[in-house]
Amino acid sequence: VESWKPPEPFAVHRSENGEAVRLRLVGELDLASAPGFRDTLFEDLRAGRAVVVDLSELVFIDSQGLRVLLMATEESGANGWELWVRDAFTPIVRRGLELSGVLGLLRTVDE
Amino acid sequence: VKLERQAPTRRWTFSAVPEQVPLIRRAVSDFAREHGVSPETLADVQLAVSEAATNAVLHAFVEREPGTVTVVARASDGMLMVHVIDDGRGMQPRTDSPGLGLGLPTMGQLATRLDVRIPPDGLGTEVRMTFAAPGVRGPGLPEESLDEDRARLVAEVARLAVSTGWPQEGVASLVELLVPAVADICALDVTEAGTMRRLAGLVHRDGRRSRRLAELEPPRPGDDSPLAAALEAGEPWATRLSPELAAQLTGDADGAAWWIVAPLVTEDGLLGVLHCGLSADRGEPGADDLEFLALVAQRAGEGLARAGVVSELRRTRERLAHILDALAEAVTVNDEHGNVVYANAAAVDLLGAESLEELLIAPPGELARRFTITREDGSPVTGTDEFPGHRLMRGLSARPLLTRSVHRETGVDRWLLTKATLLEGPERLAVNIIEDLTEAKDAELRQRFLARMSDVLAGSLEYDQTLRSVADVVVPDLADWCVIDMVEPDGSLRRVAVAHKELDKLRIAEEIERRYPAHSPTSPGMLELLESRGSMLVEDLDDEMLEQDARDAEHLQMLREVGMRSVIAVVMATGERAYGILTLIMAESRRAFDASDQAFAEDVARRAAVALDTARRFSGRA
Repeated sequence: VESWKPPEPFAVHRSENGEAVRLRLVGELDLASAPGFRDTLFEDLRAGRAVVVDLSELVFIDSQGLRVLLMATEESGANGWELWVRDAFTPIVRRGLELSGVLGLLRTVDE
Repeated sequence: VKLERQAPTRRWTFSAVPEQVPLIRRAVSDFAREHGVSPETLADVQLAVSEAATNAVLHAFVEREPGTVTVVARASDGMLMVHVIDDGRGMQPRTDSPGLGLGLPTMGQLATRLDVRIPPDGLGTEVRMTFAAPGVRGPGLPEESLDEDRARLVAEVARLAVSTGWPQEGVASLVELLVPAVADICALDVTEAGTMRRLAGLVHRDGRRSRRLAELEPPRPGDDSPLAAALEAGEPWATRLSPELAAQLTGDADGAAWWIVAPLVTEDGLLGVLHCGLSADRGEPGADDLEFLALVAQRAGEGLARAGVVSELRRTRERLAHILDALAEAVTVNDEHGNVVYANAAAVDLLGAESLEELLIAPPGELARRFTITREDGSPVTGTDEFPGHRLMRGLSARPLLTRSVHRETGVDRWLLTKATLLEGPERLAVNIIEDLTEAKDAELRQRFLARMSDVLAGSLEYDQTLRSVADVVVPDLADWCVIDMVEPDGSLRRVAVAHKELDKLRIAEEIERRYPAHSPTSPGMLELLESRGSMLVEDLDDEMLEQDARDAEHLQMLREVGMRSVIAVVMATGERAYGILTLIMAESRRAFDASDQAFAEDVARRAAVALDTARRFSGRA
């Protein structure tokens, strides 16, 4: 029997560790949750902080979440912001990143 | 028996608002899990359902109250079917909010079969998805309107359109899929910078006419052209061709009998046009043909929308070079070996190079060696390894680095903030943005100095002690050396303070003063200067000046040892009297003073003189 738990409610856990701000996402990133994540992410990027986005505990992402990552990547390239995505994904999130081609555009970092 | 044959079906209705999207996904995935769908397939089902629900919420109720999204899930033999139906305004091209183009192609790739249609009641949009789901049990698939071959073609087009090289790699395959399966002639035009460009053309079994078709100027929407009709309808449009029209569209008189134009319309607007020519023996195209081509056009269009986002990113990078040259910030790009492969005009200037070529041919590290580079705390930055761009290349973190760089030759002193970004591509490049913070940083240092000086001046009423403290505050931020000479009652100068951060250097200065007291090590014209009550600046003191100043070879040797580079001497005076001379010297840091340093030194001297005035009044000293 497969053990299955309903996903946690979406949340962004923000922490600063001197070098960078870490945004650790839990739950599902979709139309309902993407705007909140976008605001948090862009606030830190605009403030000139280096941001590491950790999706390793995210259990779902669709085009709305991918869109935020893609826009942030594009803006970061244009503005010289420091945006990294931790290179650790749940299978379903990796599938979404690969299908959309967004994975190849992200700056990933091993940790 | 009849009940057993009925496929298990569940139906939900949600309001079409963002908060409901996770619930729609949850409902379908619970149903799927209950019916034995594997975790891998479940992931695809969730993704596809999420895209469909998101499309309905975002696009079906623009400029109107959110309606409902009805979801139907059905388990069949080895299959899971999900229909997402909204009661919104129906499919239409949108010009606002350019989308990522992820939605439909993603669904097309995830579902074994995808069908977008107008629901039976004629309102809104219905997305029908079928997923291959081994392990799911139920009755066989019900008949669908598209036959298997065409369903496979649509799936194939969807796969092409989401591939990375699309549209450049893949359009040829697209027309090959359609010829001769559904048409004898096929061409694809894509909108580029507002005009149509033909990307592919294929005429069945005719290489010569294929090439001609592929190079033909795309048709413009004239008054009664098939293209105009299709654009107005916003969907595939079939026209019976006259010989003239056939010649015009195919570049050849014996073209097709029927011409179908399918606009590739997405949220981003008209992205392209698919043309299909049908020979007379295929007969007049039916509604099913047009419906099929509408699906093909939709898949191809969604792929173009996504490719547009990606190629926009690439174009942005090409345009970047032009933008960068206009920037005030210096920008350089270095490769993995540390070679500079690009520098904008500001960088050429900032790095003290004569030309871009000089920068580009310089071996790695050569540029850095032209400067004495220290951190904010004065500690040296050795080599280029510590710069953010080089750290990024080695996979290390790269915080912006604030440095003070003094050009070894010119002595120009700059505070530079270097930030770096890694560009991953065919080759790894680090982009460095170097911001000149000299003005801000100098102002900050001077403010800090003035605050400390106020403390010092307020701290003591005793002349010599006060002046020694001033000299100690000046070194090393504002100068390497600070020397203060006071005017004695007989008009001669008496040295009261010499400050330098190293004791050894101080000893040399003391030695010079002891052995050659008539000549200060700074300048011979001190008394003249005192008379003028002004200040003087020697930006670049050369050896010739020292030779003139030196009494003998030994004296010259000692002066050289001090290594003076640049000097400011300023009279400390109030309206009433001149107290002495404040001399600032740059030596081993190789920095050179400029006019703004001179103005600041004058300010410092004035403040010191005012404090001396006050001290004199209180102590009653004449």
